[in-house]
Amino acid sequence: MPNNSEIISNVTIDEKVRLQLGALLDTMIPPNDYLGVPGAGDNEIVLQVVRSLRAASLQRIADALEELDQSTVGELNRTFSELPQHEREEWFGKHDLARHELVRIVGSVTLQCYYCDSRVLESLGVEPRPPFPKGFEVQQGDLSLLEPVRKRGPIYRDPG
Amino acid sequence: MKSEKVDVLIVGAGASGAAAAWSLADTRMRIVCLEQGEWMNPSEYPTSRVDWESRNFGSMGINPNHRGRDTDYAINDTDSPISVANFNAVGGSTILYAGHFPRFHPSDFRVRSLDGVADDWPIDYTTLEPYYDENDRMMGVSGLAGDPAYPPKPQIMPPVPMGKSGQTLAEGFNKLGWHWWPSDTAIATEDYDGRAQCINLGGCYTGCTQGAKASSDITYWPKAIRNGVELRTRCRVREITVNGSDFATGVVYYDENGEEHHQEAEIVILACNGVGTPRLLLNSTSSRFPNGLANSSGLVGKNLMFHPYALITGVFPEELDGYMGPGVCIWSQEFYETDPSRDFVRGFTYECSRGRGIVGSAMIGLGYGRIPWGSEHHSAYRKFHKRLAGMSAICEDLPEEHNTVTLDPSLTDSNGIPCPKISYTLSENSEKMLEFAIARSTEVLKASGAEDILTECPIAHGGWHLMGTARMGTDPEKSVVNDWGRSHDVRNLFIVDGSIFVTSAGVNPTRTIQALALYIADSMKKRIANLFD
Ligand SMILES: Cc1cc2nc3c(=O)[nH]c(=O)nc-3n(C[C@H](O)[C@H](O)[C@H](O)COP(=O)(O)OP(=O)(O)OC[C@H]3O[C@@H](n4cnc5c(N)ncnc54)[C@H](O)[C@@H]3O)c2cc1C
Ligand code: SF4
Repeated sequence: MPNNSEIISNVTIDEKVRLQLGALLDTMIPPNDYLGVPGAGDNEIVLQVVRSLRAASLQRIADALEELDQSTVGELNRTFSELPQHEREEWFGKHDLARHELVRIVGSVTLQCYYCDSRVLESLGVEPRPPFPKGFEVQQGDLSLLEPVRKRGPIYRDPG
Repeated sequence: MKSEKVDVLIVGAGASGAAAAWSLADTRMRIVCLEQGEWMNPSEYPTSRVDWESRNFGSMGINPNHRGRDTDYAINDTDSPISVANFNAVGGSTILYAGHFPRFHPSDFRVRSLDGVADDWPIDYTTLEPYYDENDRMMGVSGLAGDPAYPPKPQIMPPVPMGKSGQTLAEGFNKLGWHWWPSDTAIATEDYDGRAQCINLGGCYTGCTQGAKASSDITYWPKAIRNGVELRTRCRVREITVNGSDFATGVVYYDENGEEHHQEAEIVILACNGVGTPRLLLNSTSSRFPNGLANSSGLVGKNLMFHPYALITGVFPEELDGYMGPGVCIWSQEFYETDPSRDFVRGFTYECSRGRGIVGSAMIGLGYGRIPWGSEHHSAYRKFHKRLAGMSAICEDLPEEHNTVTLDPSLTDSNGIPCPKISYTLSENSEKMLEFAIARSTEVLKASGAEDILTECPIAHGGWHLMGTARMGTDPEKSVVNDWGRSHDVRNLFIVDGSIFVTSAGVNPTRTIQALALYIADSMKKRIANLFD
């Protein structure tokens, strides 16, 4: 799994790779107008994903993206990234790309970046802010539920 | 380089080292603690950032092999289904711990007498009770008095909120007529001793930015330092040195710049945890101690106990708490004590947990094949979001000599010190207990209304409780330290961490580790005039 602990700010990728990655990520998590959420191929999220990937793995990812892009040409006459969303999804499912090494490598980083995006958080009813310093309210709970537990009496063994 | 001799040298500034240092400070002896890690800065903990969850997987992760901090040492865990989780800093692993804070039960100290397995401890619950109480005050424990699974114990602060998750699960336990109780936690639910109360950030596993969780860097250490203890950080101890009379003379350590020092001391106390302590003893070889120091019994590094865990998560139809609130809420000890009608001995605790974070929910859903990629992703995710709650079953691990910490023949840390290797297998007893625990938790989750149940067993990354590798006992042939923590072989060498556990009980160990450290420090103070006799 890539070590995405530190954001690597000086990583850049060329436009072609960015588009290829965006097409793949949009296939994995598509935009949804009804929910008001971007796809994971949204520019800002792609950039975040690239920053979070280990610099060393980027060339490998770029090579794998190019391979994926070309894989559709024979059958569909267009590269993967040129296909419309529904055709990409169809291809993704038909070829079980969820198991593809490329998807596995970018998958967890994508989830980490996608689910930190403020538009996504807002659509889930979550305020896009760090937990600290405001914190959260959690209901205390009803301690009278303990009545039957108390009634039963001690359950520990006394070794004497 | 040689430094001025000190009276007491403690290695390790985690849960136990901190407690021992604080207790011994009132002797006015010259006390120095060497810690390989650094002071943490709570304002830099992940929950002060929107992307706090991502850092669980990086520099604040629980696995030293993946974390990439130069203050860590690698641990070869390829021969174990469970990998070690720890943290190396002032505060030790309490920086990351969840703050679940149960005591052992009276029966946990009498395992052989009651159940005919393992060994009895040379001390009992009553011996530790005053030290439990003292530690509870120092750490600040929250909980509800009157738990029928325990003898009476004091309540210091009210329990952490049950939340919707705790309440939902409690109703399930009640339907089955099973025990449950609000968990005891090392989390301040009120402002306590200079610490601010918990504000339900939910990031306890990555360090508490609020300072509500009692990690020992913010509880014991400030007081110990005020009372004169010197804490030196980024000092990694390589070995303990001895003289011809089998007394420890001090330690050799490397400072931040890799410079080697010899620190002389009258008394050496080890507090490096159940992996770090045997590693250090095994690295301390000499012509008198060719198999490692304090190892005439051959038991240094043997009997490693982890607590095998099963994680059982329910997916509920309604929204619960999500990640908000401390991870801990209620526990159940319905199956804690041995029941002869079952096919295993001893028992376990269910520690109920709230949901996962936003990212964590996606990861778990994807991992279990419940959340797909593609257009169904969003609707599937929304069935997970804030709808997870469940429990982990923390099973008593019995001591077995073939579960070991040894030195890896080739792996070394950044100072060239040999690293530990762990070899561990799950016993048949543990496997049966885990199976039983999953079956019963499935019943209670269903009774609570869960519509889908996900299980992980054992939790592969869950080697966070490290015990038994330098056990205590009265017989020098069957134990490493005596009944007050002093090495049988080296009379000015003490161990205060979880290594000295005889058995593991079915609860988290830190409250007992710290009570033991206070008990050992107190035993030393009481015997100060004839400590080495
Ligand atoms: C993710 C996680 C969750 C946990 N949750 C809980 C929980 O809810 N409840 C509970 O009771 N327990 C929990 N634990 C376990 C708990 O943290 C430990 O039981 C406790 O911290 C052990 O105390 P210790 O003093 O033995 O060791 P530690 O706290 O691990 O401290 C040992 C210290 O020694 C230092 N050290 C080691 N070797 C050397 C050396 N050669 N030179 C210098 N310094 C050295 C280390 O850097 C470290 O700081 C959890 C642990 C983790 C990692
Ligand atoms: S939930 Fe409470 S204890 Fe845990 S990190 Fe937040 S404030 Fe700290």
